[in-house]
Amino acid sequence: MPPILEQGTIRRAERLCHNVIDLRIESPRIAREVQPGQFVHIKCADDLLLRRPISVCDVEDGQLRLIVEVAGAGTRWLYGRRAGEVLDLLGPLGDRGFPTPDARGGPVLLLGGGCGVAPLLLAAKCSPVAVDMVMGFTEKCRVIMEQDFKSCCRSLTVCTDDGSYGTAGFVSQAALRLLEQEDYQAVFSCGSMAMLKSVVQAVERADIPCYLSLDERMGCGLGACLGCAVKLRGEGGAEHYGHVCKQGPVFELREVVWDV
Amino acid sequence: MSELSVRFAGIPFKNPVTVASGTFAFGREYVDFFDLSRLGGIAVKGLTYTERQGNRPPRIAETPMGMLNSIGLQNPGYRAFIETELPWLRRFDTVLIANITGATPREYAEMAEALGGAGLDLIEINVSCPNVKEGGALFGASAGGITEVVTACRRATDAKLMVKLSPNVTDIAEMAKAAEAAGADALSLINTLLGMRIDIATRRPILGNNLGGLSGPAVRPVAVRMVYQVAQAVRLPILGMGGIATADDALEFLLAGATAVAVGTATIVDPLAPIRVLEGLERHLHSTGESVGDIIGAVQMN
Repeated sequence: MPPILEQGTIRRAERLCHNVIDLRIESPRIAREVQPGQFVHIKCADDLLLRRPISVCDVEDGQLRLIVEVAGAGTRWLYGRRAGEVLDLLGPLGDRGFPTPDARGGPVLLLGGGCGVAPLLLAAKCSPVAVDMVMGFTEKCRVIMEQDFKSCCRSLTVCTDDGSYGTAGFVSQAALRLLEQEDYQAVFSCGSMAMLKSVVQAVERADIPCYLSLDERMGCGLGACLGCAVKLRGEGGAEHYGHVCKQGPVFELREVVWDV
Repeated sequence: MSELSVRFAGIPFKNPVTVASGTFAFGREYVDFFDLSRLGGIAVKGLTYTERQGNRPPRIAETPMGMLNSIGLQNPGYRAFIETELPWLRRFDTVLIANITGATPREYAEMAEALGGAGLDLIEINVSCPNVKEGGALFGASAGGITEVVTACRRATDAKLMVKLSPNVTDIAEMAKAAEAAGADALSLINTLLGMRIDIATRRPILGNNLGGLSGPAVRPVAVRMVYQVAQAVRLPILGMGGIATADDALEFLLAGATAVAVGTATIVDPLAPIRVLEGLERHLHSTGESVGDIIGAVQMN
């Protein structure tokens, strides 16, 4: 599906917690095509040159739902948007999002950290098999989207690093316990690089595919400028640079070369 | 439409709007947005003698109205381009511009010969990529280096040669004269300005390769100034570039003395930017009743 340029009107802008906003954007052409794990590339303020890639959290009635956490100037601008304003969108982007689980296979385990939980919602909703979700946050006041996942997942485990809400500890620790109990067909994960690395360590021992949504400083979003490089391991083991925007943003953990 | 056409180094361009090397890959990513035949020309991604994987990430850092990049010429090598990309590109009615970077004058010459033989309209000799260690900008940093590379390419092919000049020199007009004397048919400028950003939290450069090339609107006044200076110093036609995002930007370059322009970083932000520049230029000429040729070098200095 070729990418689409679309002007999307914000229908709802709701602050979920400090520095995190939940945007519902009228964007029927992109919404019709988007697959779980894909992203939209958004033009931000006039004085910010580059677009910002944001994973799609959900689609409903021609609206895209995006969860944006302030990480820099572009996301700070997005955090300041209000209903009625118009965004310049390019999407859906990414040749590979989360794969569709095999309907005859076992359940899928979803592991999300912070705002990285967002793209897992559409994956959960589109799954033909049961999904178990583990979501981790630094502390109670950062917990978001609990009800969204509760309504579409078989089980939901909420972790906080400091134990102020739900289970104390990291997502990877809860994941290890679930992986021992259940025969999952795949793991889908999205979160910070530190969180993904701990997930990689936890899942590597289990012999199941693990799909990770990666983030990198990005230019065109189309695979032309070759900016958002990620080191990959090819069929024969040879290393090469692929690009998050085009070959991703979702990669199987064993094809990614994890440089420390 | 005819008032848009220009002759550049003897080659007819249907209009003066091209896309800059490295911002358009080999064109495939943009066919979903517009008909590539509308462009005056396409400069393909920089080619090297053998395949290159490019530099370690991060490769991009935003700056005030600009961006730093250190892609490092990731490309499949010039032979793979001729075999797999060129046949596909030929379906478009537009001037095809190869862009080559060698580690030695001999590599440049071999690539120029092969690409000329493959029927490329114009070969852009990149002596100004700031992101590769060997060759490239090393040659572009001195008149002697430019002379060496252009002389080698001139001996190797009858194809039209365009030298892409680096802004990272003391006197760009001297570099332009060296290229002209060595037999170049045209010049393109500017390549990116060498820059650096530092993450104050980690105290490390943001780019994996530490330094990178600055492009985008931030560099435009520098580019316009250099096009003007080079246009005063040589008789060669100039392909002007550096932060062009609108027709007004393109007009500045034409007034400064460029015969054609290239849209680069703007395409990374807006895939339709080259077409917007073209349509804006068309509207401008229609309103003034001029042709492109009337505007080239028409700046009146104070």
